[in-house]
Amino acid sequence: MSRVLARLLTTFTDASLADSILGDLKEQSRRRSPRVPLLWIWVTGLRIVLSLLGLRVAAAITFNLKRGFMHNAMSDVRQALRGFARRPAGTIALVLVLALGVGLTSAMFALADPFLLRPLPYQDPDRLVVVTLSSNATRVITKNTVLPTYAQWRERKDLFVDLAAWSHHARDTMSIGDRTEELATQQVSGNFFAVLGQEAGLAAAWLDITRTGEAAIALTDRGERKIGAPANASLDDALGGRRRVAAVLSQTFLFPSATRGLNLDGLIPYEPGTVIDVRRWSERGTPSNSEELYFIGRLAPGVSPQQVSAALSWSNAAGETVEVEAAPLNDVMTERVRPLALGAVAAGGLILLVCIGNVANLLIARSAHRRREMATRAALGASRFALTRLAAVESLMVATLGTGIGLLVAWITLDVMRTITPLEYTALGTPGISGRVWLFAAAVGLTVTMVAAIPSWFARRERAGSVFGRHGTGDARKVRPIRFLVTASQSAVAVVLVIGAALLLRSYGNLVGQNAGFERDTVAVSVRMPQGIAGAALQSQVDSTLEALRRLPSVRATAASTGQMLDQFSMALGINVNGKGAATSHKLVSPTYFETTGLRIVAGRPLGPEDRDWAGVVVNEAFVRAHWPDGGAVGKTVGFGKRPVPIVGVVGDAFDAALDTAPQPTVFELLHNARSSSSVSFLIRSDDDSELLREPVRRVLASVNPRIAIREYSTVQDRLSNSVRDRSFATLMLTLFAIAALSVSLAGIISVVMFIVAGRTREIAIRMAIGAQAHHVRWLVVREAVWASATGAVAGVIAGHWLSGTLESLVYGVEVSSWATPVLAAIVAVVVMAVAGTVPARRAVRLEPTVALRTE
Amino acid sequence: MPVAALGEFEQMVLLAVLCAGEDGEAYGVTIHEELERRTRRSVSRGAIYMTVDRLEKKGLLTSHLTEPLAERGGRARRCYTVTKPALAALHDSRRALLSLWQGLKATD
Repeated sequence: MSRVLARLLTTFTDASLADSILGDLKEQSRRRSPRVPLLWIWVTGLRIVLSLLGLRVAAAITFNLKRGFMHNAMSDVRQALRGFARRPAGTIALVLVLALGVGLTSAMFALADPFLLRPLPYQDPDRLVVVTLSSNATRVITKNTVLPTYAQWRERKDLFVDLAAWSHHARDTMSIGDRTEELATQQVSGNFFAVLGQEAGLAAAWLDITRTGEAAIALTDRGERKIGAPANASLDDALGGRRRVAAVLSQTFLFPSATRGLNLDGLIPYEPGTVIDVRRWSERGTPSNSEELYFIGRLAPGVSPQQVSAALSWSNAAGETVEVEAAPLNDVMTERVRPLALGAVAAGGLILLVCIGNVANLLIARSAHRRREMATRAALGASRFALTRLAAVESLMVATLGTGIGLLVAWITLDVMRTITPLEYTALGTPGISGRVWLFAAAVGLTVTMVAAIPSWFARRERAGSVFGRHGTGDARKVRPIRFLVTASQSAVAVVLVIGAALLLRSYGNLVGQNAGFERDTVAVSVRMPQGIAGAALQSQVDSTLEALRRLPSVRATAASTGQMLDQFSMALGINVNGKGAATSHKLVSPTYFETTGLRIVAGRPLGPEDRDWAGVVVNEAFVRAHWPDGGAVGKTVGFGKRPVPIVGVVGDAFDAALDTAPQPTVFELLHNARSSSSVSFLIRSDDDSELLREPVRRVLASVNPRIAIREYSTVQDRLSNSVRDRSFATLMLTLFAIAALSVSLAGIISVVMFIVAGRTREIAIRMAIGAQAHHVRWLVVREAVWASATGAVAGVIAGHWLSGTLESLVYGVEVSSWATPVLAAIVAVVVMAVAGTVPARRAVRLEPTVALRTE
Repeated sequence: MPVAALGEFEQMVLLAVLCAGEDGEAYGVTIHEELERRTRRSVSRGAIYMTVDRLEKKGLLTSHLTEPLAERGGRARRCYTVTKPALAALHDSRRALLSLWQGLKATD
């Protein structure tokens, strides 16, 4: 017991005085004869310790104030810089580990910030609830169900301050001047803006517009950019009506739905009638007076969402209850992305912990290297406060540098993420380096450095005598099992993540590297044809457009097809093959389609003008495989209803739905057979960049028919990339984590070896002096790290192989149950770690024995 | 050697060392007892140890260790003696204070 008290006392005074104080306490306790002498000694001793601490701190502050704090701080900065320059490798490792930790943690924070911390951009967003019918509605509601109306619900002033509704998501073709665009619109009730408490300037006007039934539209920022119409401009709609642009909404406008707000171009006023949410479409028939409605309400003061649910649920004639759910808007908006956000926070936390561990390890290794320097400083009269201050200044400098580089890492990470983040993850705001992220990064940098410095501070608290007199590695041995466990765990985590990343990278490589069947630089312009254009008129407009496009300079080839290229829903048609019906994809294409898109003719010939009126069709290889596995399809017939149509050619397969969906059996017939099609895609091969072609193409379409609306303009490559956006995102995230885990593991191993070298310098020097081989000495210091990382790697391979099953839905063309990828990934990881470990080991064997022994 | 002006607590500790020394040995326990008895107030032991340490470094006190004593758990006493410079400093301080006390007398 007294040893502990003596140890505490020696922290603030020298050992001899501490001994006297303990003697005094013992003597006094005898004289006073307290009831519990030991307790009295402890309490009095601790009081002495506390007053010594207070007096020391006060004295140090006074001393430093007298000496001029800035003078000391500048001197500390100079000394710290000299220290860094003497050990550049260690300093760089320290800063980089910190930067990586701060960078990735901040990136994860920035990713989660919009969903978890940033309030929704509405007035008092906590009072907003989304009201829907519960899933039992599909069972309970029938054609004869009497439904409450929107007006009835809106009247419930005991529940809502007000209730807004929206309905009908539509794509409307609108034009202004020679510009025609297809706009994604949403009908919203008159009180929509008032309930949300955003776009205050428009709220009252919108109510009037709805009441008077004026045809108006409020364009979103996206819609305004698309059609280029200012406020109060008049747009022509496809039915010949006119619609006034009532307002252009601000950039910060956010539609209160996680999915519906994406790609929204405008809002249209609407007063809804009967209440029903047909997302829960009843199999027992939908009531005739129903319509698709979604509700958002502002709760009356003191009302909870549960009270709304209870009050609005009702029973039908059969006594069955139709339950109504009221959920806080914030929960609904973040529901889909919350797992990602929480995952990001968890990953950030994990990286942070591993980072603290490694920075601590590096600092301990560093302080072990500097034991003599610190002891010498103390012996020359540097006070403990001065040494602590020097350490604090060094930590602060490392933290500043690490945070700065860390923010750069975060910025690059977020920049890469932005390009491939699926849209629904950015609905609430694009992650970026906001003021909050700056503050977070600074706090993380400082906390990591300070927390990580604690063990090294204790390691540094040594008396000169003990440092100069010690020639052992005793203290290093004490921490060896913990060190082994930490290194092995890091290695295991790194190997698991490397395995995951390797699987996804291989899968991603398979996806993007595979032959899509199309020329990837083909520009695809999907358009919506004006209503009422069919038959000969459609043919004529398609032909004129193709002709005009072909005349554009730099255009090499053009083609057209019905439907959208790479559309997830290509037209399916029941046709007969060998007398049996077969569901088949079906495309109507111009004769130049195969040449323009680069679809390879495998057998027979492409379609030509002679194939009009079902004189011939072309099929793809998937079709041949499905119906004539032995080949020889050319010359055979397929039945279009009762009409047999000969197959004139076979083309290679193309991924025309998505890169990760196997090509479907497809029949191509001539576009001239089409009687009508609202959706047509024009395909262009050009020598110019696709962006340079955008405006000329728009002008060509407007010249042929100003009412043709461009639905989408992109290259095949863009569409292919978009079709695997989710996979790209998952691949990038996992690869980032793998890189982070591997980097921190490398840093961990380097610091472990550095620590071992520092503790065994004398031993190494003696071994070298008596003629040990360099590679033996290298192995001596590296073996612990290598064994630890190899043990971790074995655990990682087993865990990685077990966990890789969870990636099955994300990988493409990769066998997840195979051991090859996990073992290979682990071998690569262990080799990288072993190589990293040899860096400080090489420095150990380069030590001059005499110098090493003298310094000891 | 000129000695820096003494603080109030330093003076009290030095005087307590002198008083304790008259009756026997001046060490932690006796210094603390003398101070509390004569000033009739509670004094922090930590402050005393800190002060004697500082005064010793300033050369105003010297110390020596006694033989180990059983009543102290086998530890020696660290006994303090006031040095000549400290006595001179105390006399200076006394003179200065006495002359200043004249002001109080004048108000009686």
